[in-house]
Amino acid sequence: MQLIRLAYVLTGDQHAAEDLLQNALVKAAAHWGRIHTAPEAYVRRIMYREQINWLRLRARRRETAMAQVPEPPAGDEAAGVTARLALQDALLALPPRRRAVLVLRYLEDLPESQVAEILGCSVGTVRSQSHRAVAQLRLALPSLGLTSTEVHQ
Amino acid sequence: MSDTDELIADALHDLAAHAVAAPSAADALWRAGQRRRRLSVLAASAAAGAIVGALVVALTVGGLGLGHSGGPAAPAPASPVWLRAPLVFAQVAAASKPPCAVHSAKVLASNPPACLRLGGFRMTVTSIESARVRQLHGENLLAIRLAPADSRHFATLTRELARMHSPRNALAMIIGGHILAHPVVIGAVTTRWVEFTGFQNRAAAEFALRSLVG
Repeated sequence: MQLIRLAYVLTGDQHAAEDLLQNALVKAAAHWGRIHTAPEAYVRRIMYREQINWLRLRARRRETAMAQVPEPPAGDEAAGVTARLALQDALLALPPRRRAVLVLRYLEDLPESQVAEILGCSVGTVRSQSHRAVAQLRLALPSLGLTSTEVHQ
Repeated sequence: MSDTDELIADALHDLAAHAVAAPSAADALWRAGQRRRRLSVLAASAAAGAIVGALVVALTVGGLGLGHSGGPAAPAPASPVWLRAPLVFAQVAAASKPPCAVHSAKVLASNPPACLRLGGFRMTVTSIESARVRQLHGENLLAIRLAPADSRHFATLTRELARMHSPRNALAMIIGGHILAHPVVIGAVTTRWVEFTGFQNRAAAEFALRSLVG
């Protein structure tokens, strides 16, 4: 997946995604001699950690951006579209660490051990964050019928 | 993978698709850096600049149009501009030639004249970041900068409509109960500036601006 797409999923905003990627590239450039064998992995790791830390600080002093959910659809394909929009909103409303865990697990399709290594936490934390994230989505979107999910290694 | 896993994965992929792709120039810089095993801060900044520069036109429509671009240069607004009346974007579910039959669920639209039944897929905007009338190649444009959340929904809305067949790929723009236009969407609008074109003259564009923000 392109780095800009990953940045967008983490931030939910094109401009913030560009900022996040730019900062990560600049930091990667400063350490190029050390990371040149696997630069992309390094950039991804910076993006995950920067976003989590930045949002953690920002969350204390800003209002939560409540995205407007489109009004109820008339039916047929519009219903599915609206459901997807609602799920996207719910994903963007997740706390940053939980969202990052889901992105790594479901978008990057990485095993728990690798998720834990990237985020700098334990596998147990990855499991609990993933479980809580899905529970939060289920609570926010009961109509979607999300079921409990087991997180496998 | 369970149904839940698939739903989440699909939604994340949808979100990822919202991002405007990094241009090849940035990729080339990155690859060049890898070849040289040396990437300067300047090159990294240049790559990011190229990404920003890629936020340019991808959508145009016929007649009274809906398009987007990097938008007119404007300072970042400090606070939202509340609209005089909600601006509603609604999918067109059915269209026929006027006049509209009595007691039908259809409403009369202009630009071009049509009898429309609106679909349920819609979004309402109550505030924007800024709006202005400008001229481009002799054309009068009403440019609106959407708030980030609205912009994201608008991108999703237009992306979904662009995949549908006529007339469901048309988007009615309603201000104060009046359908201002119902252009066909042929691509996702992913930037925060949305531009309405097709006004007969500058006065008409400014009237539309006043009806939005007073």
